[in-house]
Amino acid sequence: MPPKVILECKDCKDMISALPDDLLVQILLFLPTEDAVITMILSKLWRLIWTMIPKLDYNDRYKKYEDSHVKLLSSCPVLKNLSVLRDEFDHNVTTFIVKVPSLENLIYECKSRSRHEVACRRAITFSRLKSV
Amino acid sequence: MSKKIIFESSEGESFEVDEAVALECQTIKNMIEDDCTDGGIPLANVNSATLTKVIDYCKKHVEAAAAAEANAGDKDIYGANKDIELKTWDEEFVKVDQPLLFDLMLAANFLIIPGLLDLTCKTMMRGKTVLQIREIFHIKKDYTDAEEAEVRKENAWAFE
Repeated sequence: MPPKVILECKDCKDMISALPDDLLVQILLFLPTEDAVITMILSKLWRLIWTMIPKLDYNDRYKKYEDSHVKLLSSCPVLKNLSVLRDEFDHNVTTFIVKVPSLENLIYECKSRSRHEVACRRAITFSRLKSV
Repeated sequence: MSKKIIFESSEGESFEVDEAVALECQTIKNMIEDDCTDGGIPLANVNSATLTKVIDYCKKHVEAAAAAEANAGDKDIYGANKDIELKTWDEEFVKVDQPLLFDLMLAANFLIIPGLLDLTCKTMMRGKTVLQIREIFHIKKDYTDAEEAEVRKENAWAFE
């Protein structure tokens, strides 16, 4: 992690970046996943903060970017709870997950296109996904 | 009469509160248990304006908890309404300017008041765009243009 620099100018001090990481993670934890992830564009420090969030939601809206997303999720060392909302059922969910070794809980939801509501809901709990 | 605890703000101003109110702060709770609160508790990193708000928050939540306990028998609409009322109160409570919100978060973190910490963290960046966040918190971009382009490219899904 790069050293945190506090600028000298009193009124324009970047006080938030000087906070302990766990507090920054706490702030991001309450944002919708995409809003939290997007903070990575703020600065080099913020590029890493969101990856320390233990709980994320993945939405099928980003399907065409799935490879990059899976890669991205794999860079989250403490991700414990992941919820995946799919438009259609697919069997890829295991390949999606095994790349996140710290994962403990996975909620996998699948929306049926024809009914526009949750048609199939599978809640899978892994005691420790590491063992898979 | 209940025992009183005296806080001293960074400006040296004294605030007397009921022990029950002070117990909302885990840090203070530990001090009370260790019996080292005589002569007041100096809070060198909490100013008077922030401390006033923190005490308001703790008082309200102690009262709410007491009221909930008194009505523990009838878990009906009354209880649910009280929850909504407290939530609304919390929402109003954090409608403060950014520096005070920031100080409240730091105080909640230091005094260990989980409810207030969650509330202030939740409010800190909510509903703000990245541009607004950068402006409000004076976060300096340390990416080069090429680096920024790379971050955007790698994570294109998040920047749609």
